Amino acid sequence: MSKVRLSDVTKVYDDLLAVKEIDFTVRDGEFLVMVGPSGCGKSTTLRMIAGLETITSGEIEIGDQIVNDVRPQDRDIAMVFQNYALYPHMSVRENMSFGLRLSDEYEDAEIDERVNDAADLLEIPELLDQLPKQLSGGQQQRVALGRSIVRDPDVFLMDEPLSNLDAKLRTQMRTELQRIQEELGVTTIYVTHDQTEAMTMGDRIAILNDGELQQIAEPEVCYDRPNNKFVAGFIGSPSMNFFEVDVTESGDGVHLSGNGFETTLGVSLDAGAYTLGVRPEDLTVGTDEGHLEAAVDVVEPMGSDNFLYLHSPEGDGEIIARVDSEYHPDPGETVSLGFDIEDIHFFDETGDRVPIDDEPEAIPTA
Amino acid sequence: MGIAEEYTEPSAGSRFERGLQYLWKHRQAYLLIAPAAIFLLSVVGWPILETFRLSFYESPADSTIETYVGFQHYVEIFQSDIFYQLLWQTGRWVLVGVAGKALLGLLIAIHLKGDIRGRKFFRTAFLIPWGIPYAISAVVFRWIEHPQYGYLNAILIKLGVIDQGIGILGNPEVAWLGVVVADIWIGTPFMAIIFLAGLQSIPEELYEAAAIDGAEKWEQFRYITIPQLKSVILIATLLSTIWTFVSFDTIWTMTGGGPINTTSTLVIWIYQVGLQNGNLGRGAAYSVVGFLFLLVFAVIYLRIYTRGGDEL
Repeated sequence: MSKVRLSDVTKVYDDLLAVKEIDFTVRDGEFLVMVGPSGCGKSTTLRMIAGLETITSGEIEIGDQIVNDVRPQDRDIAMVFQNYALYPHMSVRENMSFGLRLSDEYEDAEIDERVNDAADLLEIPELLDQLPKQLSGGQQQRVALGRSIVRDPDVFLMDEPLSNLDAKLRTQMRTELQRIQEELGVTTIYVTHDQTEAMTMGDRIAILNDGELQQIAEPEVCYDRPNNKFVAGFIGSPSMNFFEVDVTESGDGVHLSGNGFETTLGVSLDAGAYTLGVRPEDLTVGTDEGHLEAAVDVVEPMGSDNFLYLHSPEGDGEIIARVDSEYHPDPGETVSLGFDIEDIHFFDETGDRVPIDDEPEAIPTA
Repeated sequence: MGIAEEYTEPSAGSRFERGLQYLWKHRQAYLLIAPAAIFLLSVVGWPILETFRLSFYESPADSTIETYVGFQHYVEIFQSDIFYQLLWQTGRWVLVGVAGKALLGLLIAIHLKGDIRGRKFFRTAFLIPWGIPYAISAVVFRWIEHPQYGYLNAILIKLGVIDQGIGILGNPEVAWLGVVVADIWIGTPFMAIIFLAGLQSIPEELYEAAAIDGAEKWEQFRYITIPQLKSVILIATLLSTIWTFVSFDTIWTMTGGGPINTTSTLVIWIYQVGLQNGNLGRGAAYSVVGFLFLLVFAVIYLRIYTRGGDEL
C-alpha cells in the first residue's frame, strides 16, 4: 500500500498536449476516481502512472519512490484493462498466477493459495480451469480483477473496467469492487467517463477536462461546490441548468436580468456578467411567483419523479426541472420556476466559481 | 407443409438410400456446382488417376506402346540407392529451407511490427523477393555465388576468409547449401507477411498486461507472442513445407540437380527420369511416391484448416 503523488505531470504527443501539469496526491488506501469526457487525458494519466506511457515533464511518485524512469515491470502495480486483456491461451488459474509464476519469489504452494483466496473473494473458484473465451463478460471481469489481486500490489489501476458490462451487472460490480477494495485496502485509481460511477465509488473524485485537473474532492463537495462551470455541468444527472445573467447591485442584494430573469436576490456579489447555475432538483416549479417564467415542453415520467423540459420565452436553451411524480403540468402550460439562494451557483466569465455569502472557499486541487 | 415436416429425418432406408435422398433433395445445388466440379476433376483429378495408372506401365516417351509391368517400377525404386539418397536430400532441402524461412520470417516480422523509421518502405521492400519469378532469382543467386564474378566470393576474399573464389554450386559437399540459401531468400517474404499479420492481430493490451505482471521482453515473446502465433506458425510452416517439397524452378535453374545429383530432390528426379530420360512409367511411379508423402502434409493442413485452428 502506498500513496501516489503526481507533480505537474504533463504529456505531449507530437503537437497534442494530452495532459497538462496535473498535480494531486492519492492517499494511502484511498479509492480515487478520475472522471471526465473522452479525450480529457484521464486514461493517459493512468497509463503514465502504470508506466505504459512516458512522462513528458513532471514527476510521479509511488510510495516514496519517483518512478518516472521505472519500468511497469518494476512498479509493483496491477492494472485492470477495459477489455480485460486476459491471456486467451491460458486458463483462469494460469491467467491469475502469471505474474507470480514469473517471479521467483513464490513457492508453488503459495501461488496456489493466493489464487484460491482471490478466487474465493471474487466468488469464481469453479472457473479456475476454464479458458477466458468460455466465460461471460462479468466473469472475465472478475478474472481480470483476480489477476490484480493475487499480486498484492501497492496500487490498483483500473481503466474503465465496467464499461463493457451491461447496465445491471455494472451496478452489481460497482458495489462488488468497492467491497473488495475496502477489504484489501489497496490504493486504487479508477478511470471512468461515467459520472455515476465516480459519484458512487470514489472516496474522492478527480475531474479532468482538456488535459487539466478541474477539481479533486469528495463526491458531495464536487456536487455541492463545483470549482467551475465544467464540473458543475459534468457532475449530476440531469445536468445543471445554466443561465447567462447580468448582475447589478440593488439595495441589500443584487438584481439579475437577462435570459428571462428580472429578479432580486438577497446575496452579495459584485456587479457584472455571470453564469447562474441551478440543479434540476433545486428548481421549484409552481404557479406562485418565482424567479423565472417558463413554458413546459415535455414531461418525462421517471417513476420516482418527473423530469420537466421547459424553455423560458425570453431565454435561450432548455431548462430541466426534476419534480415530484405527482406533479404533471400540461405541455404548453406556463409555470413559475423558483429556487433557494443556498442552492444556486455563480460562475464568472472564465467559468470559475464565484462564492456568494460566507460559503467556504473552494478546496484547493492539490 | 409445416416447417416441422421439412426437417423430419427419413424414417427408413439404408445409408445409401438416405444418401440418394439427400442428393435428390439438394439436386439444384449440386447441379449448380457441377460445371466447376467437372472442370476441376478433369484438370486435377484425371491427371492424378492417369499418373497412378501409368506407374504400372513401361511407357517410353518416344513410343505409343505401353507394357503392363505391375509393381516393377515401385520394387526397383525401393531397391535403388538413389531413391534413399533423394529422400535424404529432399528431407534436408525441406527441413533446412522451411526452418530458415520461418525463423527469418519471424525475425523480420517482429522488426517490421516495431516502430522503426521507414516501416512502410521496408514492408514493401521485403515483399520484392516473392514477386520476382523464381527462375530469375535463381539466376541472380547463381551469379552471386559464381567463383570468379560473384560478390559472395569477392567479399570472402576481401575479408581474408579464403584465398581464391570457391565454386559453391560445383562442390558436391556444399552445393545444396548454395541452393537452399536462394530458396530461403525467395520464400522468406511470404512467411514474414503472414507472421506480421498474425503479430498485428495480437492485442497490444496483452503485452501491456504482461509488462505490468512483470514479464520481461523475452518472457512476453515466450508466453504471449508464441502461443498467440502458434496456429499461424503451424499453417504457414505446413504450406511452406508443401511448396518447398514441390519446388522445382530454383534447383533446376541453379544446378539442374547436380553436381552428381547432390542437389536433386524427388521432384527434380521425377522430371529427369520421366521427361528427360523419357521413362514415363518410372517417372509416374516416383510421382506417386512423392504424392503420398505430400498427402500426409496436405491432410494435416486440411484438418487444421477446416477446424479453423480453433483448438490450437
